[in-house]
Amino acid sequence: MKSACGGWRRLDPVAVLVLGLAGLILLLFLVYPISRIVLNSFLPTDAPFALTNLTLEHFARFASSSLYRKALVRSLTVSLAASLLALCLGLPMAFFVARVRIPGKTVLLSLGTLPLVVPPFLGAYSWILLLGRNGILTNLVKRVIGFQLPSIYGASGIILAFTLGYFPYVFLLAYGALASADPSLEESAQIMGADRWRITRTITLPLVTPAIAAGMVIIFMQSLGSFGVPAVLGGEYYVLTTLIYFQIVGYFDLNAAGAIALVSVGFTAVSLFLLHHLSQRRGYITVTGATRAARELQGRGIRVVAMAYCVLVLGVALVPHLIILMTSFAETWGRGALPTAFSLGNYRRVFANAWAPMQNSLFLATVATVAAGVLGTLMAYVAVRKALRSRWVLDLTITLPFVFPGIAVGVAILSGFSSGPLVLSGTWMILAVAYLIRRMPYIFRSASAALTQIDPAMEEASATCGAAWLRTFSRITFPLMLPGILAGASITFSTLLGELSTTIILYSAQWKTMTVAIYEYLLADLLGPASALGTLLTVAVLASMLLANKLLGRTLGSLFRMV
Amino acid sequence: MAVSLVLERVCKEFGAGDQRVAAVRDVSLQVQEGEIFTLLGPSGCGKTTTLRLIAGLETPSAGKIIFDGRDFTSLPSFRRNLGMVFQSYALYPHMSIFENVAYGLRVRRLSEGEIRRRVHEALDLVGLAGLDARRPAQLSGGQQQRIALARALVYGPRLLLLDEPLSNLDAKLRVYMREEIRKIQQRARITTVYVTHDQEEALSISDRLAVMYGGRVVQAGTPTEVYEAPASVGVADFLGKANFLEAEVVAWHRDRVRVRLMSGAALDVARGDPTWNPVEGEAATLFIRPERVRLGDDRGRAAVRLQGTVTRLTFLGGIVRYALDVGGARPVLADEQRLVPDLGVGTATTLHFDLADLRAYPGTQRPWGETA
Repeated sequence: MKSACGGWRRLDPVAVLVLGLAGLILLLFLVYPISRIVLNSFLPTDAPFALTNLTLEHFARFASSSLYRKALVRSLTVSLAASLLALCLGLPMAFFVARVRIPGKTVLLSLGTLPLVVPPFLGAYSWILLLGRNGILTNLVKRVIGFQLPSIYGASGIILAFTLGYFPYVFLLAYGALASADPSLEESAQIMGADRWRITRTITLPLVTPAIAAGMVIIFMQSLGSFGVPAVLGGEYYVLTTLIYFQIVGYFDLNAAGAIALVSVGFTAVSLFLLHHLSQRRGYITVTGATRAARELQGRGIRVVAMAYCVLVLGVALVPHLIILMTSFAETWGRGALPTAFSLGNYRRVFANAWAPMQNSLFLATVATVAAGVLGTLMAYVAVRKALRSRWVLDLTITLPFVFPGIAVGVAILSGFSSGPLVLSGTWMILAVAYLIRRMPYIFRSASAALTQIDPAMEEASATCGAAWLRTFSRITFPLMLPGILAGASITFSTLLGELSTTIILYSAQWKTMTVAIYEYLLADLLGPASALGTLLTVAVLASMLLANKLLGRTLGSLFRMV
Repeated sequence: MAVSLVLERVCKEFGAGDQRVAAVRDVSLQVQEGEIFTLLGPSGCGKTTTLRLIAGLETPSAGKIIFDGRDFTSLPSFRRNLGMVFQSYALYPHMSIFENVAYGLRVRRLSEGEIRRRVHEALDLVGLAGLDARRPAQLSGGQQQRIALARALVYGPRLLLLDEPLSNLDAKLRVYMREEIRKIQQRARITTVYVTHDQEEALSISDRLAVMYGGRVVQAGTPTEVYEAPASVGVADFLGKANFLEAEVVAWHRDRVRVRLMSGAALDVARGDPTWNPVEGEAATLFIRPERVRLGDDRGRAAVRLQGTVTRLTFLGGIVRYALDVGGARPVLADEQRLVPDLGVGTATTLHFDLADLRAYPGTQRPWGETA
């Protein structure tokens, strides 16, 4: 091979090997199923592939069927409403925590991250416990003031659950921007004679707008792709994700499901494009970096208001989860709203009946995290250190699953591996593969970021000391990347434990996960066991996140600042 | 002394196609065994790339690198048995000082006892014994620098490479450390290639040096040779302060050029640029260092005299720098050890200097970074 003189890179065996392996895996488990789903969505139901068969009938249903049309409109409405409400909820809180002198900011930030850690459909479920037909608050209000609260099922419940589950995205991103904005910008405006309101309007808000907008786009995407929340709270109120599920479980119509998934992907892609645009603007602003912390407001009135607001918002967002905890220990419910006797009965039932799903969840999450960890790390290494010029190909391919909502990944994998040359359906492999594909971007991103921070001279110094590639990688590069890899892995592992949207499409009788078991308990109205299993899930998720924090010495919030 | 390291017409190009850039063009060098050889030049001149080629961190596009008779050209870095100190030090933040220094010994699979003995020896050598258990982040910049040096020397490499090792230190420490490096290098008697953009550092630390510009070596020699007899206006200007006077070629014989100054005086001056073949009537530039210009009455000893007026006077501590208008485009600088009595701004005086301190160059040459 010619040297760099002629523009040729010497072929590095490591790069070739890793790129080859990565290419193979991405082709087989990502590009292939996605092409199948795209192709299928243009084929009539149950028709074999032929050019003459191609049709737009599945897409035409968005015009002809009111079910489809409603689902699309509803998906967009609830997602939009949730991101707007999250703004109203999250922005004041971000301002209060960043700019007002109140005690316990670290605690507030950690608590503010919790809703993101807990699987969102558990949040939805907790609102049923509170406001459902037989909910604690519903009963309480009916008994005390004789008023029948409106139903939690449908749009209002979904929007409520989305808002309270996802507002931390706005809160954390806006907080980051507010806390790190250079205080001298505001000070210079003050010196030039601007009053506080003008400064807020002309300096502070414009500076944090990209961050806020990014948070809202993320919430919109998450809401659009969420299956668990509308499945638990929707009832007859279909949105795109539940419609996909309906097509698959009801009719096993993969082609129709594929078409709906593609439409949903279209909206996510647009949002992602928007997000990319925003994050570039955001990067431009934070380049300055603050040397001092922003000044805090110290007035007594504002401090009281700020603290009260934060406690109220966090209370509303988190207390429902405590209700799940309480319900899990409840043995008998009185005629009043609250349980009258507590026991471990639900846990005994769960351990007797749902032992296998617990094991499955742990097994699948572990396998997928390890696989994603190894692959994501190697690919990050090759992308950052070896193949700078073709990096964008890797980046784009690996990021593809971001554009696909969980349920669409499920449909794609099912299209790819339920028939054809490689059949995996019904095995644990199909779940592990889907998990791997969905979560590898997390580790890839986080490992790449870590590697970009490492001075290449570290590795060069090792080479000049006499160390060959393998030693340099294992002794220098890998240990220095490890915090980044672990951060990515801990998010991967804990979010996989709570994964429902992909799982619901791909699970089989032997490979049921905890989340599926909870969902089934909910459908059967077995609130006690559902709460017990939900509590166990939350504890497992929290434990793995806290362990990662302990290992990394970071705060919970920083793990989520990856977008 | 035997020649140790040889670079033969080494080229390095980066990028491909239209964006191809030559960082190093046709560089040939010979480094003697046991000497400190410095690559000096402004940023972007190709000195660091040349060092990285010697280290094996880059592969030459053309040419050969030979060390102790062995062809290094395509040998991977880790087989070259060399030590390198990086500008950023590149100490491993996840390892203790002991493990940092021991790294190259572990690569060479020495016994634990031997490793301990040699690490302590190396830490003694750089004067940092007892810091074994610390982490790099707990050390000052100067200490980190010395640990990097210990790490590069501990396994007894045959060649030491230093890439701007002092540029992250403050001025006083820089002077101290360059003497330390020289001392340690002399004790280890190791062939050393040193890269810097600081001319004072280069002059003080090197046995010999090469001045690089635009990817080429423009002059190589001992510090005195290069400082006293620069091969071009660019080198003269880069290595310290320089005065340039406009003149015209009258005649030319061997290494001497007869020129006429604007004042009308004719002088026989040594030719500075050995590649220059002057033509009668051609514009020439004369060069002289400010410390070789004397002011006031010297009782007729000097060969060359000019009339000038003081336009500015700068006190620099060790010296006083006078700027004088002699009728040319640029003022002439003259460094005196102390204030000259009765010589304030606006005063007319005589400048005089020895013929031996003057060098003549083609009038077309300009200092680097100045457009013609």
